Amino acid sequence: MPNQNLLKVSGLKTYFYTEPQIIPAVDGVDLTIKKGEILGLVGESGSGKSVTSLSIMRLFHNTPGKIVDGSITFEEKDLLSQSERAMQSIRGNEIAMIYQEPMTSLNPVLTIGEQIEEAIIKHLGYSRKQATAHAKKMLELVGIPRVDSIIHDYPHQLSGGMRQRVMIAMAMSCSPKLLIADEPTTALDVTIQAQILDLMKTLQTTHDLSILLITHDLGVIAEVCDRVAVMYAGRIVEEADVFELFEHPKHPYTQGLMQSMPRLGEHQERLSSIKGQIPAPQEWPKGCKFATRCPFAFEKCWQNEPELILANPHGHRSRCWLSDEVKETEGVKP
Amino acid sequence: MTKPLVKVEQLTKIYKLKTKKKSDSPKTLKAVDGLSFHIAEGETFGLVGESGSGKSTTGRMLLRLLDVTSGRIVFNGKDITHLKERQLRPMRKDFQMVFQDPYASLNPRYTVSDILEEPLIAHKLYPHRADRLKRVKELLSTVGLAETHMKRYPHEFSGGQRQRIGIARALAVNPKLIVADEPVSALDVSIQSQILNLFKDLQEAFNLTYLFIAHDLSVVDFISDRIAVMHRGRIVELAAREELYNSPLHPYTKRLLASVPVPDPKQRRKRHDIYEPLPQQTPPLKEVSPGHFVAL
Repeated sequence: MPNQNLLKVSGLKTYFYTEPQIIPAVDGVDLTIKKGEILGLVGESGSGKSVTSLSIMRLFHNTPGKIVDGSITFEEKDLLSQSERAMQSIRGNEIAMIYQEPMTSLNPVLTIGEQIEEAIIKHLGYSRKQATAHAKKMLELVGIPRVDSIIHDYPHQLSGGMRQRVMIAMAMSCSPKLLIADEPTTALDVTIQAQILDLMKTLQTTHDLSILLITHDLGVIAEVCDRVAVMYAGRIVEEADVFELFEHPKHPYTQGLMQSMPRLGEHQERLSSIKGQIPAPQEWPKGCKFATRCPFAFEKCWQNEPELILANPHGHRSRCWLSDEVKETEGVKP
Repeated sequence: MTKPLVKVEQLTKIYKLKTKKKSDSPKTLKAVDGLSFHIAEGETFGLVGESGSGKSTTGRMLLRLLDVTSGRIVFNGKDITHLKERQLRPMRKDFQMVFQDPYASLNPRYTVSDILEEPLIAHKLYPHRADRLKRVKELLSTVGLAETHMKRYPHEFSGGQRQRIGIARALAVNPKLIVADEPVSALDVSIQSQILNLFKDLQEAFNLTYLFIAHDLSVVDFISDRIAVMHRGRIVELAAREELYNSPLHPYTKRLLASVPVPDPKQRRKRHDIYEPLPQQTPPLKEVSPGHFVAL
């Protein structure tokens, strides 16, 4: 079924219970991912984008992190009410995850072949021989050359780009429906990044894969995503189709981010920038969390926090009191 | 163009690698392989390349923080390649460095005031403490920090503010040249733009010369007058910023340009340039048009 929601997150709140204060890392996040769609989750450090992905996977063992409110529905299943055992089978089988630094996620004392096979045997119940054949198929799928020799290599013998391909092969080995990629290309050189992004696009088409792509880089978002959610201070502040977002960004934070990027080949004398920095949770204003840095903030913004308001009929939402019309009529200027 | 402040000729760095057995013949790694370029006074010279291309090694040799294997570095008309540390010392205030990770490069047990006073003491610039503190206040205001920050420690600051402290420390001794090695790559994009603007403002105010090292071509393109593209220890192309963007000649430069993600989904590129093979050999740089050099 096209347009069917594969994942639906509603009202998610994940707090970290640390001394001396509670940190509301994710504070009311709503998002959906459709089948075969790449959703980009973009935000700066501390915005809560990684914690959102860890919440979906429920990976908070031995951390002070706790999901305190909201619901996460994957296909028809309510993920928050699953037993830990059931979650273990969902992780890897149905939702797989890759991280920024492939070296730290690979076991240094196992060969590439051994670690992919381990996942396959555990999740799919294959024999060793079947698992080896499947591992080779997966490595070929992600464009690794000389597969027969590389399965005997150790992670340190591969380049960063090759390691990330191995991680993707491992993630794809149990045919997950959703791939969560948390800054998958941030540690890679730009030419290798381009190749990995190409690979993710290909898998989206060939495997009808849905991807939640978490990144700080609006360039990466523009290259591969279908839809984008922008995060700030634990909330989604804007959500739209990728073309719509880049053409008509509505939220002042998104606008600010786009204007601060240096653009190749454009002779820019100066870059515009967002004043100040992301406030710590204890310094969040009562109303809109962006008010402290917003060039348009007025009385209401400081008092009441806006909802994620529908800004046009095509599903473009923005958490801002100022629609374009209001800006015009009130004569609000930065 | 004004006179060159820095001139580098055939600069080479060879690292000796550890061997497993003593009897093995020693292995070496040529990190920088016969680099020649100059940086004019008041200019920003961008050095761009991927990890392992030798750009940081080049920056460190230029400041004599790393020994040179062969070649020559001439700073302000004086050959500094083999100067002893004692002879170098008085010159060091003329060339300063700004690092990537402002946290790792600031002493966590020093207050901001201590951090900024230190270079002034080391170079005996202001014998009286009152004058030094006046200078510290002046520096803080120059980089957009407040006097009230003087008594605080590095951990109390955000990444962007820490980088401002790192820049203030480099500025303290009134240098002519600043080597900035990936100074904005650890920062969020909204903070990155503030720091890039600051670099530009300071250059204008103090007639600074920059060697700006970064892997991000959009950043280098924004800040630089001329850009050298490094690949495997060699410069494969060198040209004025606009020329390099508009008419890249080396396949590696083309590949870099094609790989930079563009923040506009309508410009999603057909990435054939990223899979084109690179030439095996890197011949010496040739000037193909005035000021545009390429190793083809």
